[in-house]
Amino acid sequence: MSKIPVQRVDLIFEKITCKEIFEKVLQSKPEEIIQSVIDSGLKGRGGAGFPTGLKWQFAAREKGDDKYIVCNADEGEPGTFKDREILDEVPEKVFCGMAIASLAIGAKIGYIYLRGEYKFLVPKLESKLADFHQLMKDLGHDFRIELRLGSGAYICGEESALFESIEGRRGEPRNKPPYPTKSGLFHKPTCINNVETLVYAVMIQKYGAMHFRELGTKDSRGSKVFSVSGDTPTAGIYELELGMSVREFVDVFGDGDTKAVQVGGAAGFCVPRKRFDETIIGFEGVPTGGSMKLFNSSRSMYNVLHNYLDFFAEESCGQCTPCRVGCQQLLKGIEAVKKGEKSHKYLDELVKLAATMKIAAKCGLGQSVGNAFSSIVENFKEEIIY
Amino acid sequence: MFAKTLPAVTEITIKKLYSFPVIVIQFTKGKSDSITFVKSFNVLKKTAMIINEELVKEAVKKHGSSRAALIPVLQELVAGKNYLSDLDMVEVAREMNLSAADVYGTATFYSFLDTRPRGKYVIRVCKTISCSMKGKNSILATIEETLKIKLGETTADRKFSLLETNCIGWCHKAPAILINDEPYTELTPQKVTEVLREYIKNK
Repeated sequence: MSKIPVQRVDLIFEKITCKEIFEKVLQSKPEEIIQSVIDSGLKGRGGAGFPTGLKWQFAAREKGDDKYIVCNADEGEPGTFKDREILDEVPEKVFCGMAIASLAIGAKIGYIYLRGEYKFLVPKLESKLADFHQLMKDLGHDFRIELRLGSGAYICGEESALFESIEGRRGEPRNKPPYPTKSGLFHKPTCINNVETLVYAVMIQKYGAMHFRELGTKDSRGSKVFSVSGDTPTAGIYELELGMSVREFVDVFGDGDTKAVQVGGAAGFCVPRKRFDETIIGFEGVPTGGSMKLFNSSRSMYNVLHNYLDFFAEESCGQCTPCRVGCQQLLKGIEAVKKGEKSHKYLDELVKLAATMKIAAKCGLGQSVGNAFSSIVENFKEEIIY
Repeated sequence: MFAKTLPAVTEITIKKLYSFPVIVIQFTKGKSDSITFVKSFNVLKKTAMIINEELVKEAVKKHGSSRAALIPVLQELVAGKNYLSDLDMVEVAREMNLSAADVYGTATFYSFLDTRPRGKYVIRVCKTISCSMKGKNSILATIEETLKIKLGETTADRKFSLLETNCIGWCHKAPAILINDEPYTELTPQKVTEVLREYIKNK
């Protein structure tokens, strides 16, 4: 049972002046900026949760003049829509975060990779970027940001696939290592961060590392923006302290009949009602990029699983066999069991397949399919079979 | 320039007729000029190639000719008509010194870089879980009934194409669709009919 009830926080959408904060940051040394981010305990807010300060430190330590800051605005995880609102409401904070990162690691160019489905934001972003570039000029900091659009591929949210896409190729993930901080965009040292992470980096400069660290738990410092949808009377985005239990979350956002919560989108875990109390929303429990989807007792978990598998089978880049074939086999498999063409024992084979994909797939997509698959099959077996 | 490449032609202009471009070619015919729509496929094809060349050259001039400019160039060409023709891709390959297969392979990876002919407005209905839970099927049925096309098809006047897509990031206001770049959310069958009527009437 967690000690943190559902607490609203207001760091992300608070209006700031980039000029004030950046002038202060310009007085600090890169090592000091990086140390403050490390001290805050900030971890990536896109879903993978890598410690941000460490990432900046690795990139800073690489030698070379060509380094890049990349903002991952390819928010494609089903059920996540918080980056869209952040970019719509406070884009200047995202640019400011990128500028702070550029100072910390020594980069002159930044890219924002914006998913094609958010193309309607481009006019506003370009207008705000013009102001930002003027500010950089006024403050004498050599850093400019360019926009790059995606074209409808979920996999381009994966960092190395994103680089491939900016470089003009199919969005097929690379082998890692080497990791982006060593060899990223154009195979140069790159620091790639989620939209939300960059805004928190700004707020850490404004309020100090300790203010951020005091929120959340020791494994999940700070707060996070959640995208809540599904069977809930209060769908929308909410910035909350990390570390609450799913029970506490459902008590606030559920419709009174919640039977499952999908934490982390299609790539995340399905938490059944019997595990609401013991499951923590955070890096020590079930981590998430923010997607929280509530299902009530009217929903068929077979339909939910089928929807997720259909999604993955379509969005798989196709280059590695475990994912390309695995996703299709999982999808066909549950259809066959449902139709009675295969016995329910076949589900055990499929669970083994999902576990194999977790170790054999080349990137996070193939490795994550098993999360939703196993958690739904194990907890809702009857609905899958009958 | 055109007069040199096509016989007996004095002028080529592109006019818009019912929202898609029509090539008007002026021939000299005896003592007076006359305007004819070209019936010869070869002449039409060659003309289309010349026009394509110009559009591609402009796109490459705007975005550059390095590999990293490929997707912005393709996006530029798609923005006009919602798909990439074979001619587009061959011309891009020529301008950017790539193989046509490479351009095709890159374009076909991305669902918004369509290589099949689409209409002026591409309607993309989100089919991922939140929209699916909140009535996407009835929205799809309404659109099919209103436009008299099925999923995957384009209307006869080439104005609307109907496709499905994955999560577009409006889950709290499901069901949602995109029409070209514009999102429409919190849809009901009535609302979506109104939206379509606006498009049919005004554009």
